[in-house]
This record gives sequence, structure tokens and C-alpha cells, in this order.
Amino acid sequence: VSRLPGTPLIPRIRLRPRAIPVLLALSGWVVLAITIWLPAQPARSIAVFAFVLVVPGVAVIRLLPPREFLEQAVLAIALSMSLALLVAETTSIAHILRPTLALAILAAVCSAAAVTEMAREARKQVPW
Amino acid sequence: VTEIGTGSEVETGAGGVISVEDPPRMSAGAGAVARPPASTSTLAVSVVVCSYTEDRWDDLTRAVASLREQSVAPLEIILVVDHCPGLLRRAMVDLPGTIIVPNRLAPGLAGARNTGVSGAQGDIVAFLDDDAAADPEWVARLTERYQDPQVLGVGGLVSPDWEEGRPGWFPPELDWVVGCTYQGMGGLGGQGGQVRNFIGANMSFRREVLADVGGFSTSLGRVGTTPLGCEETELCLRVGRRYPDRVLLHEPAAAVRHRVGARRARWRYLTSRCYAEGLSKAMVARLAGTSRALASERSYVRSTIPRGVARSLGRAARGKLSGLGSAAALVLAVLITAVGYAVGRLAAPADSPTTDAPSRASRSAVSALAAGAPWAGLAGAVTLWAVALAATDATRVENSGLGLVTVLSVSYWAALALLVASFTWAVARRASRWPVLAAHTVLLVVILHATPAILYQTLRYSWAWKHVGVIDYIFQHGIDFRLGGIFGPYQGWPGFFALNSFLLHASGQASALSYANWALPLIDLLWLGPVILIARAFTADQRLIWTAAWLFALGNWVGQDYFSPQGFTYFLYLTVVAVCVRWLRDRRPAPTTGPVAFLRTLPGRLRLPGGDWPRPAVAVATKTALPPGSAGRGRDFRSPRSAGTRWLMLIFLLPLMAAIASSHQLTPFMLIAALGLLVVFRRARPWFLPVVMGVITVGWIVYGGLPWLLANSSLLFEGIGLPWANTSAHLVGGTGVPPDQILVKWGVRLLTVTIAVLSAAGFLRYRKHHNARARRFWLAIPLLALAGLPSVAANSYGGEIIFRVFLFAIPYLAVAGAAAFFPHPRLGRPVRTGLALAATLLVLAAGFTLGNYGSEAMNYFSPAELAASSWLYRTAPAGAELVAANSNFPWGYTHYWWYTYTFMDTPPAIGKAVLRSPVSELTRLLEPGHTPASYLILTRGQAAEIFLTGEWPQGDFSRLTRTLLASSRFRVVYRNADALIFQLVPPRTSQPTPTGVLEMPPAASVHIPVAAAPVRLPRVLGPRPGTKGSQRPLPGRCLALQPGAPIWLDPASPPLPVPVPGQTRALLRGCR
Repeated sequence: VSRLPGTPLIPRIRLRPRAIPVLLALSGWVVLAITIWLPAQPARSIAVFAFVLVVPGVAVIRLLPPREFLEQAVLAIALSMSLALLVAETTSIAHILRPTLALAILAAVCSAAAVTEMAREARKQVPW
Repeated sequence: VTEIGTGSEVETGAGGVISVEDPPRMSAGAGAVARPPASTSTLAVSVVVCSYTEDRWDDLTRAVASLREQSVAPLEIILVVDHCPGLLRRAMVDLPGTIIVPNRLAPGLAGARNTGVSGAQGDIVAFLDDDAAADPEWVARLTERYQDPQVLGVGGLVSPDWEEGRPGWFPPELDWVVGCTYQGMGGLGGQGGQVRNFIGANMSFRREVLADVGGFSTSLGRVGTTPLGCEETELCLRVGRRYPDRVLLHEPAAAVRHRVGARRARWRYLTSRCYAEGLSKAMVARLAGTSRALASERSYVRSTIPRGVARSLGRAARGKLSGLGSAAALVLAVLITAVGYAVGRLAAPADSPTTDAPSRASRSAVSALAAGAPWAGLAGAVTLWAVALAATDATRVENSGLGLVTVLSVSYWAALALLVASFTWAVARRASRWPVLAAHTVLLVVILHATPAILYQTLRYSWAWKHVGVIDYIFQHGIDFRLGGIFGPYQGWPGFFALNSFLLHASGQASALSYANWALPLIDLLWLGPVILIARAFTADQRLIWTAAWLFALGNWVGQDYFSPQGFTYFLYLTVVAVCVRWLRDRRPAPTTGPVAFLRTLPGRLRLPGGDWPRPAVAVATKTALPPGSAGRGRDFRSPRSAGTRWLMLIFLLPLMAAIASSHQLTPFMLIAALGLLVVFRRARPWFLPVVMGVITVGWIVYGGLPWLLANSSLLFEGIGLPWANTSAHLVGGTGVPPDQILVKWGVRLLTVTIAVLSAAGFLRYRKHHNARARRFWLAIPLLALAGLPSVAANSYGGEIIFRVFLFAIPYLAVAGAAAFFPHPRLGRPVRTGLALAATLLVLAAGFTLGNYGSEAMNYFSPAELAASSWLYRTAPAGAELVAANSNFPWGYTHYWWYTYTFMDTPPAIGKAVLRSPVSELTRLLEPGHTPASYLILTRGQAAEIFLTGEWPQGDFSRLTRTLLASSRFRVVYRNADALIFQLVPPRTSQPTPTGVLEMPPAASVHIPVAAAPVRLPRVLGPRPGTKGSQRPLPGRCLALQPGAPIWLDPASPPLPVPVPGQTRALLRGCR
């Protein structure tokens, strides 16, 4: 089973500028700030939904073996939803569900994954 | 490309390579090459004669003799023997002074000529047919023309040497049929001149030109069993393009006589040669471009043939009847050649190699058009869909027999058909890239599932409303596993609701109603991702992958894609399976003994195609799964996994598994079954994969689900061991289903059967065309598809277990079904497979739309129904009792926990009792007891469900409503076109609360403190799918309106007197 001529695989995400982990690390905290300071309006909803359902998974999946775009996208969304669900569930069971708390946990996950990626990249570039 | 004779290689125009090392020259006679005397010309000529048969030995010796008698002797005479050992031996003995070379390239004239060229040493290479004799001045006349450096090649006159004389009917315009110069051929003036191409029997080129353009194309071999020609035409076209400012000349003085045997002077030869010429021209047109390849032929047909016909007819008019034969031969030749050309164009393979830039440009223009067609189809489908949305009045759904199927305008169906055609074109032509295929698939899902979200102003499907209410509860109260009652299953598996509650909190929205309507297309799009990943675990054939996505989208009629936990967890389930089959694949050799090995070899024992046993080893060895050059070039997920990678992916799965286990009751068990089979049959590893999922599932049940399970243990065990009882309710269907809904049911059955047949055929076809290793992993498909089947013997799951089993099988059935069309990357003819695929997809689309949207009359809620619910929830105090015929109205979406719900279909005995004695039974249900208030709400949607599902006899809902309207025990407190809300009239009206009918809800909301309302469980296990099962539409007479009457009331029913219980019963019996 192999690739047919003229039908390339779904392209991999090749470009990995250093800015991406930094953005991932900061995005959660930015969204947290938006929920605190911005009143309910479409922009806030879009930011929250986009972050919660996509970003934590993206940050984590970059540390894992899959490299194809579609696979990364599917796994990232599934992982983001699962992480958000578990955080929401846990805090709801404990009756401490606050949007800021849950968002902070997810932002921390993003930051941890992004920092790990940055450390890994930095280690690769050390010449010895 | 290097010069011939230097011992390197020349790339041929056909992509092959001519080795130009000195060929094994075998000199005939004394063993030394007989060198002719040195020419006076500065240009040496090598003459190449090709022969393939001993049958023309006499002709061949005459040809060689004519070359030896040239006034200017050629440098060398090279005889290339085309794969004929007898001729080779004979020539070596009997043709002294000739260089004898066996054809070392592909059999055929082109290969033989290329062999000759590769061994030639002269400045000019001339070609003479083995059945032609050259005039003594032939070489001299050819050579003279090469004094002009602009001349690349020179051809000469080929005159026929009829063995039995020219037949009277054979016109000179058709001499090309016998390989001779024909009347009307370009450049045939008295002095000769520039021509487009030569006749192969008599032509010559500068040797470096042949080397430069790459020799003769070997692509022009055969089409089927018909031999082709035109190698020289194609070569001349290529030379002309390579050197546009230089010329090919026709020199009539360089003449040869071409022998024409008696066999060629027959009508039969004429027709077969013309047909072959058509095929050849088609091939040349493909290689060289239509405009250039057919330029001479156009002028030939336009002027030469008419003139020839006129001349022949003139001859006939003069009394020579052979003129009629000539005219007929001319017309017939043109027609047959045209047929051959058409056949050649259709039959020629799409991937014929191009030879040079202009032909590539021509082909790229065609392929650009072909590649652009799907995008155009996509744009057309979007436009048609937009037109359909603008032209469709969603409110008509309320009263249509087949739901959206009847209401949607023609352009919707045109959009769907165009999309199917466009996708089929794109997927069958192989060359399509993934963006266009992905765009078609996404648009299909959008057209199928976003249409209700756009058309309806309200949330579709009543259970979605209730899920909004559960989110509302968790939003405000958190999770309490001990709550039990109506909240039991949602509190026990609260993941989906907790997630939405969090999203509501964080985004600052008040209710999930703001986005729940878009869950349908979004969930369906989400599902596509892992399904494509699963398909790609078994193939890299884009055709199979995207066809599987289509089959999945069209075959998934179960309707669990609404705003629900099962839709959400299904996505996670698919993702887990995708990771397992891609990253946790077990690559160890299959066990050879034991029960698993026995099952593995079962297909072979049953003599199924591709079975593992008793297939002979050679059959396996000859199967090829990989196209050439691709072995071992697999993508990363195919390469062997390190233990570290497996552990990483396993850890990745843990949160997904935990989310599944805590969000839905059934999905975890389906996942355990799937993982268990993959592990037992060694398609995935590690072995403890299902154990991990099992521990998580059991752990969650013990932690969160146990309170509800203990309270409802009877539901768990009542179906064990009763597979037929668990499935028959929906398989058999109810009685009294109206014709429209029978059509819906048959649509669903057609869809299911089509998918099942396709998947069986695809499973076998894939096995037939793949090697043992691929076949071994392919067995994961039926394993996964059948994983959920045993559950039908365990539980009825609210009567819908068989639908859920199908839901969990459909991704794998879709992958197998796609293999029915594209079992192997090398297989699948574009036209035939494309037509079959298009027909299948159209059938599936018809079945899907019928099954999914044929009962929309009960899944759609009008704004008036929502207004009634809104009024009710703003008016009814906490703790109130709400009674309805069933739950098919916008219910429970707010303050779900305030109210006690009683639905007359849960259990059905309530409804039967109500129909027997409406007033007394409803009075009993609504009587004030411990509740502060009670309401009876009857809506169009409830009536629709009753009609569609056949729960009540036709007309009974209307009679019930009229009875209540006529009864003094009930008063209408709210009324609009689609809803009525009743309250009991107190026995003694000492303190009347609102009297009369409220046409509009009160402006201000009623604020009532939350009470610990007693709750009752209307339907204990998840929602029932709305699109399957026995349903029937509203009868047409419901459309007629009586002034002031709700439209769902049956106007044909006679007005009833105020009934007493006994009378009502009699009346209902009479109606039946």
C-alpha cells in the first residue's frame, strides 16, 4: 500500500517557528484575561471556544510522534475536549467550578507543554 | 543525452533508454564488415533495414542487393533482426557484407530502428523497409540534400510495386494504406519540398538529430491486439518541434519501390489498415498534440478525398464502374479511420508518457481543465444549495408527509446530484489531490446536516432541548451523583454536560441554546476526521479513503449526531480506535496454533477469496501490495514502533478514555469490545489496552454511576439473553404506519442493505488483491465492525440497541465498502468505476435523506411551539406538574429541575387510560395535590409524533383535544396556532386565577424561588432517535384550517358534545 502518483499525503506541519510554542504558552492566559475583563460578547465566546476546544491539545500533540496535519488536528481536538471535560467535571463534582479556575488549569497545561517543547528544541541546538 | 556511438545512453522519447554501447555486431560471411568504397561525399550514410520474419526473405535479399548497387555506396548496411532467431541465423550466413544486429530493445519496429541507430556510425542514418528496393541513385539523391545544413532529414518517393497489379478500385489517394507515397501528399511538387513527416519505408535523418530527440518512441506499440504504426510520424513531429527553424525535405528523386503483396490489395486489408491508422493517429495525437498531429490529415480529408471522390465518380460516369469502387473505398477509408481514431482516444491510457514540452503543455492544459472541473462542480453545488435555502419555506415541514424531503426545492437535489457527480469525477480520475476531495466531503456534510440548522429558527429534536436543560442545571448546581430520578443518568455520566457548563460560564453565555443548533453539522464534521484516519491505516489510496468518508457520511442514518453526549463520545471513541490501528498496531507474526489461529484461517477454510489457508505460498508471493518503488517508503505511522512511542500514545489515550467513561453509558463498553478484539486477534498491542479501558470504566461506574444503576438495576438485566426481544421492536416496526413513513423505513433499509453488501464485497475484493501481510491487518475491519454485536444479547438499551450496534459498525463498513470500488491502488477503471460509484452514492443519498429527513414533521418545532413553551416556563411555578401527550415539544431547556413531567407515552398505559376516559384521567393527573400548579400542554409536535409513530390511532389526539376544549373541567390558559395549554378549573372557583385565554405571554418573567421539586423519570435511558422506528406523517387533512382552530386539529372530526367518560370511550371506539 503506498502513495499514488499525484496524490500526495496530507501535508505535514513543517514550519515550527519558535514563536508557536511561545504563543501556545501565552494563549491560555490571554483568554483568561479576556474572560475576566471582557463582558459577555461574541469575541469572548469565540476566544473561549477556540482556546478550550483546540489549543491545549495542539500544545500537547506537538510533543507526540504524529506529524501529519490531519492526524495532529484530530488528536489535538479530541485531547483538548477531553482535558477540558475532565477539568470541568472534576471541578463540578468538587463544586468549585469557576471559569477562571478551569481556564487557568488549561492554560497551565498549555504552558507546561510549550515550555517542554522549547526546552527540547533548545537541547537539540546545543552543539555538544 | 550524449552522442550516439560514445558508449553511453540515450534517453528515448518514450522514457526508455537506448543503450548505445556498440551492439554485438555479427558480420555475415567471412566475419569482417565489408566496407564499401569511400564515398565522394563528405557525409557518410548508414542504412538501417529492419526485419522480423523469414517470410519476406526474398524481399529482404532484394532490398540488401539494391543497397549494394548504389551509385554512392553507403558506409554500412545494418540489418536489425527483430526477435527472430531463425532469420538471424540465416542472415548471418547468407547476407555477407552486412552488419547483422539483433534487436536488443523492445520488440517492434521502433525498438529495432533504435537498435540500428545506436549502432550506426554514419553522419546520416537512412531507413529502408525490408520489402522495398532502392533506386540506384537513392543514397546519392538523399545525400545531396544534406549539403544544406538547414536540412534535418530527407525522405523520398515510395512507389507501389504491385505484385498482381493495382486493383481498379484502389485509388492513388489511398496509397498510404500500402505504405507508399499517396496522391495529395504534402511537398510532392516536382522539385519536392518541405514535409511534416516521412513514410517509414524511405527516410533518412542526421544521426545527431536522432540522438538529440531520443530516437523512435516505443509507446506506439499496440492497442489491444491491433498493431500500430506511425512511429516515424511521431518522430518527425518531435524533430520539427525540436528544430522549428529547420526542415524535413521530400526528395522525389530518391525513390524506392515498395512491394505490395496480393494480400494487401484487398478490401479486408484496406479496412483493417485504416482502423489501425486511426488508432495510431490517436496515439500520436496524445503524444504530440492534436493540432500538430492532425494538420496534414485535415487538409487530406478536406481537399484530397473530395477531389478523389469526384474524380472516381467522374470515371464511373465515363463508364468505368471501378470508379464507384474507388469512391466507396475513399469514403470507407475515411470513416473507418475516424472510428479507429475515436476508439484510440477513448482507450488510450491516461498516463501515457509525454515526450516533450509542447505535448506536455497540451496535456497539462487538458489536465488543468480536468482538475478544474471538480472545483467548478463544487462551486455549482454551493450555488444551487444557496438557492435551495432561499427558496425553501421551513414552516411547511410541519405538515409535509415526508418532512424535508417534500419541502426542499429542486435545486437542493440538483446540488446533491451535482456534488455526487463532481466528487465521482474527482475521485475516479486518480490525479485529484486531497484538497478537492476534502472540499467535496465537507460540503456533503454541510449540505446534509447544516440545512436544518439554517432553515429552522428553533433547535431541532426534542431531546436536544432537554440536554440544554441538563447543562443549565449543572451550570447552576454542579454535579451530585446521588440526585437520582430524572437526573440520574445525566448526573452519573455528566462529562458532556459539565464541559458545556464550563464553556457557558467562561464565554459568558446564558444558555447552550445559542450554539446547540449547530452541533449537528459540527459533530458530523468532527466524526469525519478519525474515520479518514482509520481508512488511512489500511491504504494510502486517496480514492478509497475519501470514498470511505462519503459512505460513512451517507450511511450513518442513525441520527445520534445531535447535541448529545453520545455524539460527543462517539468522536472520542473513533479517535481512540484510529490511534490504536495506526500507532499501536501489533506487527508481531500471527500465532500459528490455538483458537485465534483457527479463527484467523477461517476465511481460507471457507474458501473465501484471499483466505489464509490453504492458499499456496506462490499465490501470496505473487500478490503485490505496493506499487513499484514504494516498498518500505511508508509514512511514519507505518514504520515499526519503539516501545517509547507506544507508551506515549497509550498515555495520550488515557484522558480520552476517561472522558468517554464519564460521559456516556454505552460507548465505553463498545470501546472495550473493540479494543478487546483487536488485542485478542493481535491487531493491536499492548495486551492490557482493553484492561485499561475496563478499569477506567468500572472505576467510574463505582464512583459516579452506581447510585443510578442501583436504583435502576432492573433495566440492566431485563434484556440479558434476549437478543430478539432487544432488537425486534424497531426491526419489525409497528402497525398502522402510513405509506409515507413506510417509504422512509424502506429508504433506511435500502441504505443499510446497500452498505452491508458493499462492505462484504469490498472486504473480499481487498483480500483478493493484497498480499498476506496486508490481508492480515485487513481482518481488523470485520473485527471492529462486529465488536458491538454481542451487546444485542445483553440489553435493549431502550429498544434501540440494534441502531447503536450499527452506529459503531458503520465506520468500518464504510472503509470496507469503499474497497469494493478501489480494492487496490492499481485497480479501478476511471469510467466504469466512476459510474458505479456515482450510481451507488446517489442511491445512498436518496436513502439517507429519506431516513434522516423523512420524519422532520416531528423533529421540527415552530416558533409558535417555542412561544408556548416559553410562556409555560415563565408562568409555571417551581414544583408544578407538567403533563403532555409526549415529550416532543421544546421542553426542559430551562429550570429543568423545577417541574415534574408526566408524559402519556411513558409508560404507554397512561395514554391508553387517557384515551379511554380523557376528562377523568387527565383530571386525576392534574389534580392539585402536593404541587402548587399543574398544566397540560398539547402541541403540534406531540400530535406529529403520535401520528408518525402510530402510538395512538389516527384522529385520537384531535378528539382528545376537542374533548378537553369542550369540557368544563378544563380551561385554556394559553393558545396559539400550534399549542394549547390547559389548566384544571377548580371545583369551587372561590379564588379564580387567570381566566380567559392568554394570547401573549406576560411581559415580565415570573420569579419564583427554587424549590426542591420531586422529580419523576419519564424515560430512563438516553434519548430515542427520532429518525428511525415506526413513524408516520400528519395526514393531509390536518392542513385544512378552521378559523381560530390550531392547525394540528383534525377539522374533519365532528364537533363533540361535552362527553361523559362512557360516551368518550364509545366515541373513540367508533373512530377506530
